[in-house]
Amino acid sequence: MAKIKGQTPAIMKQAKYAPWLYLAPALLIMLFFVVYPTLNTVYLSFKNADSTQSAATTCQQPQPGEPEPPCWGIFENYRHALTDETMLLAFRNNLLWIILMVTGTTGLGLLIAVLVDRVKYEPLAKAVIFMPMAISFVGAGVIWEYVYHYQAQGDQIGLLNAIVTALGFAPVPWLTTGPWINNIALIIVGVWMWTGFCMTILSAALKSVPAELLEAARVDGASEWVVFWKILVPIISPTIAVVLTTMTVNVLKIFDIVYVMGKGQPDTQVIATRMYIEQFNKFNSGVSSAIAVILILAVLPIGYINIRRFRIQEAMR
Amino acid sequence: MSRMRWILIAILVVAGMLLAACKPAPTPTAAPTEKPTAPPEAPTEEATAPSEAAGCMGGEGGTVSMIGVWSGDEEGTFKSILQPFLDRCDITLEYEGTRDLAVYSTRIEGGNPPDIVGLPNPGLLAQFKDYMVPLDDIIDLSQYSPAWQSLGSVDGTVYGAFFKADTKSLVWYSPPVFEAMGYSVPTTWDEMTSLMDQIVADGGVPWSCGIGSGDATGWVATDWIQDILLRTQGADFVERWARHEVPWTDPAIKEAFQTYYDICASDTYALGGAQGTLNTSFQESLYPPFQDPPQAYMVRQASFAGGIIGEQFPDLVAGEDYTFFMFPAFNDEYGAPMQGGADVMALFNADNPAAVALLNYMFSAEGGRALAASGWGLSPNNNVTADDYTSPLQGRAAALMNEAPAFSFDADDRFPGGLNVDYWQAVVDYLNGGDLDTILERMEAKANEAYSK
Amino acid sequence: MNKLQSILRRLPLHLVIIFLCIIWITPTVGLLVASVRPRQDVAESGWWMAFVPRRAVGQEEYRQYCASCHGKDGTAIAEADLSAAANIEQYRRSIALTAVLRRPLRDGSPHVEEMPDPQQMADILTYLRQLSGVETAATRPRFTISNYVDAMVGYAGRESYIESCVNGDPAADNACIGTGLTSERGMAKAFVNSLWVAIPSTILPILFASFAAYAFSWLEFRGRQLMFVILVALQIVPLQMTLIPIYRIYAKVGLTGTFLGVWLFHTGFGLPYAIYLTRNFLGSLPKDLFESAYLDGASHWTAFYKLAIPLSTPALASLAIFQFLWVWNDLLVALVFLGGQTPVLTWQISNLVGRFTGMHLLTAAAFISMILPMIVFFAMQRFFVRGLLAGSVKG
Repeated sequence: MAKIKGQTPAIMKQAKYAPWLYLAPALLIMLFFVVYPTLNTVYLSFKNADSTQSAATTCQQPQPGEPEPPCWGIFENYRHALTDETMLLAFRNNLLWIILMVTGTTGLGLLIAVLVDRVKYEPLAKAVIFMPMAISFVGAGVIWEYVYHYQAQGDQIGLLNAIVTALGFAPVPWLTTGPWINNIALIIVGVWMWTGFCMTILSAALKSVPAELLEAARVDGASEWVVFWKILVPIISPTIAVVLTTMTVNVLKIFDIVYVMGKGQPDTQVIATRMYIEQFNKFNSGVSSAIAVILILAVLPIGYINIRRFRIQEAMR
Repeated sequence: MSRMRWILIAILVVAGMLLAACKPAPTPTAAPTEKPTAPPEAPTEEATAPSEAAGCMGGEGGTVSMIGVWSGDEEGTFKSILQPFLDRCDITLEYEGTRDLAVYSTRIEGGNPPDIVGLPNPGLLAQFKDYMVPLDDIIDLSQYSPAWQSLGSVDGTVYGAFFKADTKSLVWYSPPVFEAMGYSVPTTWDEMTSLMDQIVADGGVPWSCGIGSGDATGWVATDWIQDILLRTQGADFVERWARHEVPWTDPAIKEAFQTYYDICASDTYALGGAQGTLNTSFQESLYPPFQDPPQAYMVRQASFAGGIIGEQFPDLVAGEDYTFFMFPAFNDEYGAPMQGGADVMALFNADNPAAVALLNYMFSAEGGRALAASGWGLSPNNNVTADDYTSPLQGRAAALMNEAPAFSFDADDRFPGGLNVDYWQAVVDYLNGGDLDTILERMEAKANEAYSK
Repeated sequence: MNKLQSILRRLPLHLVIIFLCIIWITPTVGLLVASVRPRQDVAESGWWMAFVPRRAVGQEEYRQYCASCHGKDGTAIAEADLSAAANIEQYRRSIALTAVLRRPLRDGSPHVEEMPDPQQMADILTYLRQLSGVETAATRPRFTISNYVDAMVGYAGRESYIESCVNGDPAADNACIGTGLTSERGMAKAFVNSLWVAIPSTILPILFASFAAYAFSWLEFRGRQLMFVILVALQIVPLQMTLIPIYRIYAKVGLTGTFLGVWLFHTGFGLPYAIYLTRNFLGSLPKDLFESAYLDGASHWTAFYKLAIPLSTPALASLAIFQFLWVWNDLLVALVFLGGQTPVLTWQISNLVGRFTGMHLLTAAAFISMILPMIVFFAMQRFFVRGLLAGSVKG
């Protein structure tokens, strides 16, 4: 790291105030719309349900003869957000979402971007993969209802169960079979919707790889496999990192798919749906703010990874 | 607006309220249809005098903003009920329909609520009581039974009034099918169980139980459980349970859960067993008894179900091909109380005379009759009788409601602090095979939290 | 020979792409097919059944059980003419017909030798109802555009807009002369509102983000790296948590229900990601490019709009697509900050769907709202062309 430090590019000479002129519009708007509500959320996370008193007052009073109930004082909302049974379930599900959906969307997006780069009907194929992005969550909920629909007997309206029963098996209640099938069924919808995003960004990056470079490698006899891993991936690795980061952030706050399609199943709840329920069903702004703060803290390691890349990138260019 | 005009309007409002309070129950035909001649700015002596002013409940002209849960065709019906009044009094209604609780919270707590809010459930009244206007002095509550008034009250003050109610303890069935199969409508639980066994013996499935309803999945099951509790423990017990004076771990509650499970999670009694119940939306669950040949014979659902059945099977005749009977009594002691639900209206801006007037109209006998005539739902207004209903099914539902030994409001709609969501998830968990004792203990813990606030 | 070889060599590539495309498009095709089916059909059978010819329901069963006495066309027994509507009308469900078959005939002999099973009975009745002309529903078209018409004019009635116009009982706000298109519940007005929301909400964040991203990439200032970390973290701030605090301020300054309020909100929420993405792209441009421009006497401003902006077109294009989509498909912000007086498409769609009805409208509405994003995508694709940088890369 020491090697990288202090290598400010010579280009960055300017009047002292110049950067701030470039930054001002964005900073001002973000201060108001993102930073202020965030600070407000942090503040509320130390308050009780209706933000009138400290969170410490929500601790349960110890009953005589019973062990003292756990209490984290001013962090009481965080105790609830980190130890409550439903929250633990939500953390587990979010982890599953991250593992499957981030790798799924990025992997498939990259694969498709690389493959369609070589065919003439590229725009059409990309449009097909992109299409789900153009559908609202409510629309996607309806679409997948026709895929996952389950009927115990009789003709199946859902495509998957129609296939399953045509093959002679019993129909599967995809969305209500816990704890894995229902979660994976929802994650598949997420992958379906977001692969187009990864593909588009990665495809834009692929297009900026000079054709001469690839041709030169191919002329030298490198196989496509080698070209992919030794040339393409290293060159577009900053973009892959961007896509991975973006998807992790998106998946951490995944909400709509579960909200629209989850059928209220307790074991498909994720962090953001719990936060919504705490805020708008239970009116417990303290706990929901604590959950939001935990979400923000969960992203900080990703921010750190990004800053390392940021420095390496600046040192190398 | 000048101070003077405000004073004039205030006088008009008070005068209108006085007139509304001592007016004779208006008959729908007597209602003036022409636009009132006196604009609000007119001299007060004349404005209070003409009968047209009474027909407008003291608020002529102006705009009323409102948020409610009704959208789609329900929004259309709601507006068409109010339209004659709006036209006659030159009031513009700006209505938005949504069920998203975030919108209600944001608008209300953000300090810019609409004039009138139709809340999704009366449990929310306590949450927003600081923002609402008490209705005691605003509408004539004497037309509503003390029970309805107390349902709309928070700490003894009435904040919410109920415009449209639905009866829930109904079992929908096909009379021609019952007749052809030689089944008779059961009036006791013993008759019901023998009917169920008879149907099974005949190779059929007695019940269609679907509970799917998006993120609100589970409410159909909670209605079932309340119906069972009403019949095994009585309306008082349910009332105490709704107030959390009975713990969730009470054996009677456990028994009600089990009774429900034995029917709706059973492969023999319910279409598709537990998974069929979980995966079928409550709309789809209404179809099987009326398909040809019938896939099931009964479905327990509220009075609004007739509309959905009629839409799916346009060839069937309401009242002949599909109708309902009362969910039967378990014993003589408690009989068959009627469970019901209703959407609650609250006023957030008393300074808008048009909003006050509109609310007054909705909760007048005339407004109640207009609702009854629309066939959309039942009016809790005392002055609306079963004869006011044009649809035979709604009339019968109203009659059943009046005959029932007790009327019990949907308990989970009254739970505070979002406990209804926990309850829905608890029944889903139970149908999925969760351990009942654990589930009820968890509910008890959640309830302790929710009621302690 | 070479050509064939090359085709064969590339065959797996095509197969993989086509396979993935089929998987991706099938759910949407299902929705498209469902959206052009009559609403009763959608609840009764899978969408693929729209392509399976309707079998002549009950004809076979009728021949087996009834034709021997009643004749092929049902008219053989005059007093029990099965082709007469008056005789069939009373049987709305086959179970009533079953009861008749169970009763012995006048001469005491059984009506049928062997009772058909319930499904067969139902099929026979369906056949008889068609034969007698009681029912035309079974001959209802397999495809219809009425879902689209209903969605366009914002009609959420029991019957479709066209039906209710034909029957002469349209809802009060629809005059059946196309004025529905301009009704406040129709999609046309909402489409304009959506555009009016989405275009500034796309341009503003991209404009501000490219300024800020340039500063982050090529200018030096204190706290640059710390601010970048904060920027990454800000992306996760959940929208739901900001609604109430922002709304409170909007209510005070009168921004609720205004387009400006929505533009600013979307800009604020789009910025962290927009800056992040643009900075990563701008930052990866070769340093020599800027240094040589600098040596040529170009100011930062010139470098920004003559070099940085043109070179980052692919990144800005993809950003524009996604920002546009998020705003276009957003419901929550529109619900809270714009409300029903200036409805956008998503608001209109969610409003068409009542608690109990209107799911069929969603299918059509989803497609109507998809059209523009797809056009935007195709239009933007031309910015993703190879070699923007081809000539200018060092090495």
